[in-house]
Amino acid sequence: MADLRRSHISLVVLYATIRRYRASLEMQLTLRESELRALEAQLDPHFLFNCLNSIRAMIIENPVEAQSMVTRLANLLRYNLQRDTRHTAALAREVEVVCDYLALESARFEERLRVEVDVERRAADIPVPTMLLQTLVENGLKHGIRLLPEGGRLLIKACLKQDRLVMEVENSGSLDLRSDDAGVGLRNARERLRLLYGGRAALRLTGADGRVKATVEIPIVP
Amino acid sequence: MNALIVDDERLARQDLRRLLTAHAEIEIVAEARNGEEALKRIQQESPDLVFLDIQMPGMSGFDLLERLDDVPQIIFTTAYDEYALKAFEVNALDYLLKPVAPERLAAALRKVRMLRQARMEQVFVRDGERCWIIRLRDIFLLESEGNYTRLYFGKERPLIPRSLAALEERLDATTFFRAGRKHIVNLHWIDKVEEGVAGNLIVVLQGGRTVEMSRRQSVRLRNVLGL
Repeated sequence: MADLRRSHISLVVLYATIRRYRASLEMQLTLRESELRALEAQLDPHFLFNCLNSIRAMIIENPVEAQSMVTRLANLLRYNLQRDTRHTAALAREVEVVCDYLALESARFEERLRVEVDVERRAADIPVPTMLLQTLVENGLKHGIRLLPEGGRLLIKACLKQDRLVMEVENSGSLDLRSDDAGVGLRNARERLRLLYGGRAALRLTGADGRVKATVEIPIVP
Repeated sequence: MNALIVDDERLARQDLRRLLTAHAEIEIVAEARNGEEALKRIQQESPDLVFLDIQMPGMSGFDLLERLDDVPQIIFTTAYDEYALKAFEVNALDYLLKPVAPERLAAALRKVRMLRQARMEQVFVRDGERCWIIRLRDIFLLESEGNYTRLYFGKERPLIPRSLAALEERLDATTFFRAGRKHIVNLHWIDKVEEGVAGNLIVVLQGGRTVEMSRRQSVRLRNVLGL
């Protein structure tokens, strides 16, 4: 009887311990979740209002083009507002959104922005962190091409290398021209990669010969 | 009023141009796509008013202002208000958010007009190391000295490098009256009018200073004063 009683007590203790452990695990998860949310890039308000401004002028100049700009902006906004609970999306979807974004920027930059996109077909379904490519592209424009009176070229590349996905965003510009807030976007992106992939992902920024290149490597998680 | 539009986006310049068509008093004399261009245009055209975008390639709107000796009236235009405080630190007249609301633009232009009015009633005067900001109505006499003019106000007598004829063009003719070849008097400062021996008039200004009018101007002054 005493034995039974003792084992009952130890069960209660064990149960309580497990509950505490679960609670702390859940707390860690929520913390990671909120950290991840905080690090996710938001659409740049500066871009948004400039874009609306261009559309207003375009309505008079070229109504058809203005309509297509509104559609693209709607896509972009929807993608930003309706991000579901997952932190990743298929690369193809990310690229689609970035292309909408770049089309809108092209209307603003006009001949000052030349874009090339080269994404390997078999990389299309690989999950990538949402808005990561977008952050890199935004940085390339804001701290690169936008600072050049004559504008420049932006190149987006993605390909598979063994068990890793390599994404590159290359733009005209120089690392010296980058202001401090360029660093914030990148720092957040790095922190997100760390939370999502541990040490198995990397983000590098290199510059040479009037070009700046951001390279992201992430593991392909089945 | 002459205005310059500075923005690196053609569509943004276009939009502002369209909004300004509602304001006939504003004439857009030039556009510039970046700070360097704006600097040149301002030096060439000396516009009264500049619509200035803040974020531009190369030189920002703020950088541009630092490079100007003679700063026109500035209305900043920007898409997002993170720079608002700084705009007022550099004494911008106003600050418009893009897309610009027509009524906001109208309010900014009202401010421009009011300030212009106030500026026209005041002048900045410099003589060597000394300078004054004075109200025009305080100047009671202007006296020609070759290509220079001596201004009289309070106890000051600064000599400024402008001809009397050049100043006359800029002064309100209902207040400042040409006395003759050498003088312009402020009618509000006339204390007494006396008759000279040649039939012309001699005005005595408050403070006692007398100015002899030419024969022709005496006739006009009689009309103006209803003598």
